[in-house]
Amino acid sequence: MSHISFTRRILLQSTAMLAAAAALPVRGFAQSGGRLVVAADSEPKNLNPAIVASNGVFFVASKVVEPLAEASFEGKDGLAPRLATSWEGSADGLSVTFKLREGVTWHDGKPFTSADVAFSAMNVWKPLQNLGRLVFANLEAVDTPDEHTAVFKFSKPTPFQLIRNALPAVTAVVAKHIYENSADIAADPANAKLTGTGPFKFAEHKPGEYYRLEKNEAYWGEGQPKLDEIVYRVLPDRAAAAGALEADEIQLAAFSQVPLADLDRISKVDGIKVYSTGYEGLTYQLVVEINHRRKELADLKVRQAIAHAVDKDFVVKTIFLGYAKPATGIVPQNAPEFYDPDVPTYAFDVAKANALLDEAGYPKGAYGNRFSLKLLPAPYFAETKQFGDYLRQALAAIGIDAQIANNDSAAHIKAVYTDHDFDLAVAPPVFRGDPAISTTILVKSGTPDGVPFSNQGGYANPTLDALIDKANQTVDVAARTELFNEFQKLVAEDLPLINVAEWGFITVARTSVKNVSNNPRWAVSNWADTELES
Amino acid sequence: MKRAFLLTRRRLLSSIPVLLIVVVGTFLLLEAAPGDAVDAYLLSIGGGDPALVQSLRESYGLDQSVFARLWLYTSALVRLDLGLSVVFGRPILEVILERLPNTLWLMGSATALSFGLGSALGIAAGARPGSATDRALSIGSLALYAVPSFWLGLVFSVVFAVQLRWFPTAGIETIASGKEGLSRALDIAWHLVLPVAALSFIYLALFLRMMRAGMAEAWRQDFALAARAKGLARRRIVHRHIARNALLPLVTMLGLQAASMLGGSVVIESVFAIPGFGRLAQEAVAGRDAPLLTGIIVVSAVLVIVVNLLVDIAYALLDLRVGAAEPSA
Repeated sequence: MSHISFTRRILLQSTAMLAAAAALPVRGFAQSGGRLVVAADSEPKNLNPAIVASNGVFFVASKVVEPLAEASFEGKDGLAPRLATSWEGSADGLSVTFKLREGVTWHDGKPFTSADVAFSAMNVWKPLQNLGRLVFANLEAVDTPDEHTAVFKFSKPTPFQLIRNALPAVTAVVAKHIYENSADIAADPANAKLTGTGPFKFAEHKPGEYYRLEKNEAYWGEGQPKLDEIVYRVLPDRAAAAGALEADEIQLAAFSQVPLADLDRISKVDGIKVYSTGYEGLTYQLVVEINHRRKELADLKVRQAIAHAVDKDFVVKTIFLGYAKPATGIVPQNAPEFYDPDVPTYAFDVAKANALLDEAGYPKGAYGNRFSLKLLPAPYFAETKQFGDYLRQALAAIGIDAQIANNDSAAHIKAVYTDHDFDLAVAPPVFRGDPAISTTILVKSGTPDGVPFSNQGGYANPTLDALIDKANQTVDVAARTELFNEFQKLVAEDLPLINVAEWGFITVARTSVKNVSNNPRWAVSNWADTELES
Repeated sequence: MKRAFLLTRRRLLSSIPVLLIVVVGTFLLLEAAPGDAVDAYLLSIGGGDPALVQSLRESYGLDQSVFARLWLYTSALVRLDLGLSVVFGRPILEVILERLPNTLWLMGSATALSFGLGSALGIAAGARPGSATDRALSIGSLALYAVPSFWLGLVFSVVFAVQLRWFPTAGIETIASGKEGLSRALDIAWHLVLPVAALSFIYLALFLRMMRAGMAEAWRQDFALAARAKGLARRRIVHRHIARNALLPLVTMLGLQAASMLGGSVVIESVFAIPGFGRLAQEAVAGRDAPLLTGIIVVSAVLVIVVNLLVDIAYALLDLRVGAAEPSA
């Protein structure tokens, strides 16, 4: 008999304990004066922005580690000075001189000097960084004539325009004294506990829960930073970010962490504001990748037909709910320095598309089918998946039967960029300020298998390749820009891929957060002037 | 006591081949999935050049064959070394031990609540099979059982956290609060209310139905008739005779449920942003982190084996016939 009463007591106790927990007094979500809590959807493995130039890393690390210059709406050439105060390229393209800011100290109190810049460039950006390996491929040495001057020496002419455009993303400066004795900089424990010169100091990371940054009292910017703390709260579920914003548990969600479909509702909530600006420097492009090994797709008429079959306005309105622009070509409108609207365009015209396919020699067969294709939408964004569904229907209208293959992210990357097991794929490449950084690789031939976000569709056009190579060595800004105009025309004409739309992300913030989205890379900039009104 | 010891020994021995199958199976299954850890990592950093891709594959050991890696992994595992996670770049044991307590709290509370409340309601329903209470509880529990847990979690979150603001929307504790001791324990309990409720309400139905069915069965047995003929009070018959006999299958179910709840917590942990074991498994799969996933599965398997062992021991204590016929050698 005692057994059963024992079990019952345990049972009652456990339920009572839970009930007691539920009945705890309701407490307010009081924030200390200057703590900004923002949503984060990932925790990068390597948080060092000098090694990994990616938005996921910058989102947290850009507040701690600063680049030489940051993107700006007003500044000359779209740049605002950070650790460098001026930059100048030589006429022969063999050197770039940076004047560095004086009176800057690292978070551990040591002074910031040109030696740190030289070390970062030669030991980190050039050999280790995903983008820096390309931009600084021909960097030979960095001379430091004095503590506040760094002269970059290149072995081959390197366009200053490219270096300038790359500054915000590839030049996060790390401290020489921290890494100089490191056996393996990429795996150094200091990458998880960053030391920088930025407005915020790295305080702690609780895996799976949050990152906490605290104010750098010795920051060089006068009266900056305004906030005492920034806490990045890890919220992997997208619906959770919207809920947490409404409940005022977080004050800001960037990178469209609040899904587009929720924006209409949440923008009507008192005290919440939706920002669609502040991502001009991080434009994402919706692209149809084409496998030119498929004989039908190797035919330009078929590619033109597919381009005519896509209603870009419908895609922008229905999939992006208006938060995007129809694309005209491979360079987005947000890059005014390079953007050329004067390229061949493909208006939505189903009849013309059908005519082109007939001309190409693919008549409609049984059930109106011409041929079948394997379509792989990238699973990384809701929008790329939705566009995959749309594209299937659009292709059905012109007699092409597209079979959608759904993969998770790693499997998609393997299928498209290593195995080439696709006919059409939907991809979201990023335009990073200069076509040479991550755009030309989408169409240039010769990239080995297994390199994601590159031309793996077997497309090879010697004229286009020569044009890209020439632009990479052209130092004169006007001449280089002209080459990229030609490049855009050629891509639009020959359609190695089809550009459908371009979009920036959305930031949703409480109205108490001030100075949001005030530069073109706001989410990944240093937030030194961001304020929280209580 | 001797029975319990024999049972434990026999179970531990038989669990070795189980663990081995689990390790090899998990490793090969993840290997069969297209894409590797480098593909997953390159996505997170937005791509790289060919030389970087090559050097990453080498540093992750992915240039070696599957069997070489499997051998390396299992031989280290025998020395109780779970290795280094590819996704986190940290020792796997450290990562797992960091997340495990959160899941154990979530699962433990949810199991206790669903078992406790479920069997209590089952007793209420089974006290008079066919009564109005029985009908209402049976239908209500079935309806709950039909609800997907992520949906229930989201509804709880919207109603109790966003609208009413009684509870936090997500997390295991107030972030960066600096709370210690009792106030931290209360803080965690407060954060667990919604996820535990969402997780346990689904499983509650099972215990309720089982208890009720067992009791309905017991009412028809001779001892029930005898008890009534003796003139015992109905309350006493229900609690001491009918319910006790119906409880045994529930204990078995408790062991089985513990295993399936490990799976169910993946969804709830994601919805409520609880840095637990289930979410870790999800991250390991997305990052194609074979050593981490295998580590997670091994630890889960050990957990399930231990829980089932405890259940068997509890069973032996509740029912003296169990294990009496075990060979004593």
